Parts: sequence; C-alpha cells; structure tokens
Amino acid sequence: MTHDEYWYWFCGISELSPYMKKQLIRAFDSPEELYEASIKEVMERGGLSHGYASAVTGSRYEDRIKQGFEKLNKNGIDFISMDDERFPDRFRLLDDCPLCIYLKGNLPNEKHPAVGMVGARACSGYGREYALKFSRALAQKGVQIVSGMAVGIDSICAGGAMEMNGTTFAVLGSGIDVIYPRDNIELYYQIIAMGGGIISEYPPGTPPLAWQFPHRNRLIAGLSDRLIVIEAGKRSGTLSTAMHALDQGKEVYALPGRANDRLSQGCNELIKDGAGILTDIGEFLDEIGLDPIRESCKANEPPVSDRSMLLSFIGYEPVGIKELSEKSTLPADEVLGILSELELDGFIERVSGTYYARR
Amino acid sequence: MICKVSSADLFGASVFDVCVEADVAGGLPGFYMVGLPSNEVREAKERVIRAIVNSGFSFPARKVTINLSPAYIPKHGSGLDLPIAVSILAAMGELDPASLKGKLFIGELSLDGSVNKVRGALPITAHAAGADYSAIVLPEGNAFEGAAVEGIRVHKTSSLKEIVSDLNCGREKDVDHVDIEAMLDNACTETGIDFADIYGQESAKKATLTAVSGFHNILYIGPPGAGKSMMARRIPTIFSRMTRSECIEVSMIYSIAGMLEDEKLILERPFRAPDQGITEAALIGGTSSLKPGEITLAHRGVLFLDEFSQFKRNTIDMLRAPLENGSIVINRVSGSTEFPCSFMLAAATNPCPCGHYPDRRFCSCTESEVSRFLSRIKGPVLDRIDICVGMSKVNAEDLRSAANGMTSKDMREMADKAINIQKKRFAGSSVIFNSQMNRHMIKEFCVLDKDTLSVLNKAYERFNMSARGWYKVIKVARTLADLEERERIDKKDVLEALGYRNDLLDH
Repeated sequence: MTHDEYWYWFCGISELSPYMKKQLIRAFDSPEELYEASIKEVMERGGLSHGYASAVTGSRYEDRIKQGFEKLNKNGIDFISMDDERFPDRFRLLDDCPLCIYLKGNLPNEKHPAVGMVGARACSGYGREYALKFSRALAQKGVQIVSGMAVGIDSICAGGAMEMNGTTFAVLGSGIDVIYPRDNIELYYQIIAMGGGIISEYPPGTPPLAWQFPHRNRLIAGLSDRLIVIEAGKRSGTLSTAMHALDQGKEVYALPGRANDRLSQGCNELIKDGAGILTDIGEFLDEIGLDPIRESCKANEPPVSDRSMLLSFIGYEPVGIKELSEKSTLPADEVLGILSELELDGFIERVSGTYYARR
Repeated sequence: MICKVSSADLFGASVFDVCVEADVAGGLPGFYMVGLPSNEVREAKERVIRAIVNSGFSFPARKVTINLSPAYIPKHGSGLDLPIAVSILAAMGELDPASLKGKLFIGELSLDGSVNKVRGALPITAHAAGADYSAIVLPEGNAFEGAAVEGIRVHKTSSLKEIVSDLNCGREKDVDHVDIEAMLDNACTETGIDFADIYGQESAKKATLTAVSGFHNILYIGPPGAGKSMMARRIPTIFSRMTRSECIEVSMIYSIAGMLEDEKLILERPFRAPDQGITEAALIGGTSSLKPGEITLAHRGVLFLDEFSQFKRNTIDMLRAPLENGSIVINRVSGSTEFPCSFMLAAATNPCPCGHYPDRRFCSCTESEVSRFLSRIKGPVLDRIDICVGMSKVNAEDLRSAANGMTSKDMREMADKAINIQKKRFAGSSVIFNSQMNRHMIKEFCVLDKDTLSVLNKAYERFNMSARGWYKVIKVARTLADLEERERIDKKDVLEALGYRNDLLDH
C-alpha cells in the first residue's frame, strides 16, 4: 500500500474520535507503523482500551482499503492527509486541525489573500445587496472568497464572486459528495468549474448532521485571512464562524445594521465587541493592501410627501399593507397605489402577496 | 289494448321527451320493460305493481309490456314510475285515455301508492312549457318549483289514487304560479354575517369589493387566523340581487342535483366551498348519474377554495376551461351535455408551509421551501385570478377599535352602483362584467391617457408582466374607476390595480 492509502485507512476508522486518532499518530510515527502493530502494542503505546484497539486491528483489509481509495480517485476526489505537502498551512495552525481533508477542485492559493464571507440563510434584501456588492468588488481584485455554500448570504457571495470571474471555495458540513441543500447543485459544480474548490473533512457520503456545521465553521475561518459577516441573528451559526475567526486571531468585519433589525443584531454585537465596521469596500481593500475601486455612488433622489412618509415605514424586513395603512393613517387603497408607484420607481420591492420591503 | 303517456327524463342538463307505452294483452302473465331502462328504471317494475295493488286497483294477470321511447337513449329517472303506472291503468281501462292528452307526467311511486318528489322537475316543467303541453302532473313535493314556470298549468298530486280520480272526474288541481320577483325582493339577506365583523382588514375588504363589483377572481394570501375564510364567506352578503332569469337558471341546476328543498327556490347567489379532498368528477360534474359538479352549483355565485395549495393539482387544473368559457361540456358515449358554470373564484392560501412568510419573526421556512410551496398553486388557474391580496395578522388594537369599518350594506350599495354602470356599458352583448371583457372591448372601454399608459408600460417592463397580466391590470383598473363612478381610468386606478397583481408566477 502507498503512504496515502495508509493514511486513508487510518482516517477512515470511524470508531475512533479525532482526539484518539491524534493520540495514536503521536505515539506511532506513521500510520504504516500502526498498521503493522499488534493489538497489545496499540493498547499500550496508544493508550486505548481493548475495544478501540481491536477496531484498529480489525479494519486492516488491504483489498477494501485499496478499493475505497481507488473509488475516490475515480470520483475526482483528492484525499489530502495532514502529512501531505498540499495540506493547507492555514489549517496546520489550528488547534483542532483536521487529520485529513477531501477536496474537489483546487485549494486556495496560499500566496493570495482569502476572505471568508458568511451570513444568515434567511437574509434580507439589504444583506443580499451588500453581499453581492462586496463579493464582486473583492473578486475583481483577485481576492479568493471562502464560504459555506449554505443558502442565503453564502451562496450569494459565491455567486457574486464568480460573476466577476473570481475563485471561490466552500467548506461543507457534510460529505464532499453530499450536496446540501440540494438546490445548490448548480453552484457546487460552478465553483469547481471556475477553478475554486469544495472541501470537507468528513468522508464521502456523510449526511449533513446538525453538529457538523458549527464544527466545520472553524475551517471556513481557518482558510480565510479575514472574515466578513454580512448579516447574522443573535444566536446563529454565522456568529460561531466569527468566534472561531477571533479565536484564531483573525480580523472580523461586520456590515452594520439598524438597532432594531433582527438580522443585524449579531453584526452590531460583533461591532460592539470590536469588529471592523464595514460600510465601504474601498476602505477594506485599502486596509488589506489592495487598491480600492472608486465607485460613483449616485444617491437616489429623495421622494416627497405621502410617499416619503410611507417609505420611512418600510424597512428591509417585509411589512404588510395593513400595517402601513395603520401607521400612515391613509386609506388602504391609496396606500396600495403609492406602494405600486414606489415599487415602479425602484425604491421598494414586493415580497409576497402585498408585503413590501426596501430594495 | 295499448296506451301512451307522455313523460320526460334528464340527460345531464338537457331534458328529452319520453313516451311511455303500455300494452296489456293475453298470454302468460308477466311484466316486461324495454327501451333502455337503467337499473333505477328497471326497479320501477316492483314499485309500480305494488303501488297499483295498494291503491285499490287490481293488477292484471296478463302480459304487460312497457316500452320507453325513444328506445336508443338510456333512461335513468325514477320519475318514470308514475307515467308507467298511469299507462298501465289506462290500458286496463281504469282511466280514460283521452284525459291524458296534452299532459306530461313525472313522479316516483311509493309502495303504498303515494307519489314522491323527483329531481329535475323544474327543467322538465320548463321543457314541457316550451313544447306546448297544456299541463304537467307533478308530485306534491315538486309543485312549488314547477309553479315557477310560466306558460303551463301545474297539476299536483300526492298519490296514484288521487290522480286517477282527478283525471276521471276532470278535476283540475292547478297550483298558483309563484311570484319570483316578489320572492327575490323579500329574500332574507340577513344571514347573520357581515363585513363589519372583520376588523382591521380594510385593504382586503376593498379588494373583495372590487372583485365582486367586476366579478374578478380573487386570491387571499395570509397567515392562519388573518381572516381569509371569514372574508370569503361574506362575499355573498354584498352580491347584487339575482334577476328572475338567474333565479330560474340556478334553481334548475339545484333541481337537477336534487338539492332544491320543498317550497323553495334558490333566491340568493350560491356560495360553494368544497373541501380539499374533492374529486375531479365532484368538482367539474359528471359522476355516473351526470349530476352537476361544484362549479355548476356555484353558477352565478362564488366557488371558494380554502387552502388552495392543498387541492390536488390535477383537480385544480380542470378549472381552466370552465373559467374561460363559463360552461362545461361533459361527454359520454351516449351523448354530451353542457352545464353552465359562470362563477367567481375565490381562493385562499398560506404563503408558505408554516403560514407566516415573510414575517421572519415567526417563519423559518427557507426560500426554497416557500417557492416549492407556492409552486403547488402555480398554473393556468392562478393565471386567471385577477386580484391577489395579502392579509396580515389582526392585532389587539384592531380588535379593540372594532368600529368604523365598511359594513356589508355600504359595500353592497357601492358594488350595485358599479354593476349598473357595467350593465349600461355592455348592454346588448353577452358580457355582464368587466372581468369578462374581450380585448376589443378593452380597447373600446378602457382608454388610458398618456401619463397612465406610461405607468403601465413601465410596470410591464419592470415587473416582467405577461400580456395576460397587462390586460388583467386594465380590467381591474376599469372596475376601480367604476366604483368611483368615473368614466375615465386614472393613473391612481392603474397603480392600485398593479398592487393587486398576482405575480407569484414571476418569482
């Protein structure tokens, strides 16, 4: 067997926890040595109980290991152990470094900057707009975008970057061949086709279990030099990514929102705790040593009278016509007319039925 | 001796003459029936024999042959019992055959000889009036509906014995014709429900008023408890009074369905709310007995589909042709029949599986779940809904300040005004309401000024509208202008109509 195949065998022993595996690899110099060791040796040197040790010795089927490894290659999946020189240095620095990763496509270029972009799944129009704006600007400057390929902000950022021919990377919380959510199948293949990569630390076929997502968030933070948080609720997976990034000593930037905006609570909280305030992508690019793009920011002309009053009641979270009519004390049919006009002029958009939100 | 009696039977919505011939002759005693009788009619044999005997006559111990002509059409109605019995009695000489001339008989017999109610008496009476019969003999239970038809005498009977003696003595027990206009005027509009019961949903009320005024189909979208069904159930309270011909038309349908109560006609516009499990046949019509479906029962009224997304897709798609044509043709091997079904469709649905989208405080459905949910109601039928209105949860403030909303009475007056304007506009054509306008009529009656047209053009581009959507907006705007008794369609009408547009299809 080859060196990689020994590693593949070792990483694939599902009975052992990552902690036990690390203990073992410290005790034995290489997986080859472990493969040859007797059960008694495994128990004594590795400090394992008889049950776990026999899981090690009981999984030594050369044919099966070789077959499994071949299948990976056939499916275009790269197996990269921590012993491999391709293994990202950014991961080696982590306390909780994965033993191996599975890869489709490429790994981020370590010499180029990589920025993580994460945010809420159920994002608002505001979040969507800025996610697109920032990801496009970063991609134009050749910054690699790392995200989690979840619906909402993650997908929007990946999509925005690829519009500008940028490379994007996604770290999955499931097996590398398990596309979750299913709707992202197009994105998944586009990321690979555009020279980016899909990364997972879980063996192929692993279902998307809830606990794996916060765990993989450390890898999103780990692959990035800086992290941008677009929108996050108060207790959210997005915030856990930000916490990992801070633990790893990386700078976190957040898009500020209104005080009462539920989806911006996480971001505002981060800013309060010292995260960078991200209002202008030019400043951000400046900070990371890239030339800012000068964009001509054309302010929309302010609307007037009843219109402006109604507009002031509409935020980025959808409001129903009933509430608007109550707040403005205008009759419902009149409100509907004005809303259509505002919609026509591009200030607001209709979300569902007669619910409206800012664009 | 041979004796012939006139009767009639139904094939779906159409009535055809049946001539019942009885022949009582020598030979081995027996009872034979020919002329495509269905099982219901075949069973008449036992009823007729016992009814004759129990009415005090003797049943001949001879060979009795009944022929139902025309022999090529299958007959289903139990209403043929009475003419069969009458024809046998006449053939036996118990009845004077001359007294049967010019009379049409229908009625179902009981074993004791009493005559029971049948379905379809109203259309059969109308048919008889049109076919120059001088009188129709109806069961007592059907006499009232028969009396609604002008131009024919209605003779009611409660038993076989009674009709035989009436005919022999030349007694005429004519029922007085009913004054439908007076009944319609006095129709009880107090149903105990009123739009004033709905608090704080003025925008949806306005949309409902608009829908009723122009007979536009309407879709309510909103969270559970917003009052979608409550709103729809109050639609009949603001409908305009039915006209005499509409009343007859609708009563006929209910008569065919066997749903007309004794001594009653349908005086109020129907409101039908079938549940989600309904089968295609029950919705469209044409079960084995060719009964009208829910869409026909909703003729000239409202068909309300609550929880629209829960109906089977195929069932909903069947509504396409009826919505377009206002009638449904049902084809069978033995022929085809056409039921009218000019109804207003009202539908209600949640916006997402949990029902609270886009209120993210309560709704955690993902975008894909929402769009998958809505995709269940997308399709040709949704495309024919002119007005789509979102409703929000009612808050405590609404409940407290319950007053000062529109009442059903206000709304009905407004709708009536708009309907009168439309009546004048479409006088002489088959169209009654704005929603039924064809494209030529839209060109003629919906002239938009430059400013208004530019708004609509902008919307067409911006909202990615379809041609059908474009015309829908104009039709709704026409109704909105009619509600304010304005000849011209203003920019604000178009803007409001744009707010009601239904673009679930575009997302």
